[in-house]
Amino acid sequence: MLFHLTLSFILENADDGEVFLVNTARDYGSFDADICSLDYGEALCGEAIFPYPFEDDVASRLESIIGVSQKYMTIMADFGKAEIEDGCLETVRRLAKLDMNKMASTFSDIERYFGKLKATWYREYFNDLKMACERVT
Amino acid sequence: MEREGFGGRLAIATSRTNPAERYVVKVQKQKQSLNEYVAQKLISTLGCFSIPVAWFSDSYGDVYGALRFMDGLRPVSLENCQ
Repeated sequence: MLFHLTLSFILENADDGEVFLVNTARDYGSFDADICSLDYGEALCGEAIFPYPFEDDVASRLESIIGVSQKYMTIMADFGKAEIEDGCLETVRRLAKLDMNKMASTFSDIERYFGKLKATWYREYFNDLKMACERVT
Repeated sequence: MEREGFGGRLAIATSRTNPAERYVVKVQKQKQSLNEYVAQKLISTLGCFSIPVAWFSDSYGDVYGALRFMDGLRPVSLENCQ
């Protein structure tokens, strides 16, 4: 759960209404639920809120995201600063280990429906993202 | 069914092959819809819970990314959590 929450924040997508709970067994306070989002797209591939693109400044961006995450997650669930940092770092670690081969069919579909240029853009973007995360892990 | 949201108009489309499956499509923002599709694929690849996705083609043949509409979605906001 923390990892997914952290992913949400690390992608700078913590606005109200953009993160959704599914299969909630209890109230929000318990956070005993799966979490998903219908709005990761802009955070991942859209225009960045930060002055520098994610892939250019992973370390400092991570630091500020941890600050924001701490504020919000402390309200939503009782996570400590160390847990939040671990969650953020785990997200970066997983991005660093991203297996681009598993995205191959997605890129192939994009090429078919939107053209080679668009597919190349996404491929290179995720490759850059992966390398940026590799640098800080 | 359509409604306005921050990402423009959201449409709920029903699968031709399985009427029980409904999908959310950002019909006014094709680029955003593609980003949503790619993002969920990435989230899945990272080993996280992700929303199933599909391609949606409108009557003009334009293709959009579509996310499965899931019952029981509840938005998380600070109001909900306090």
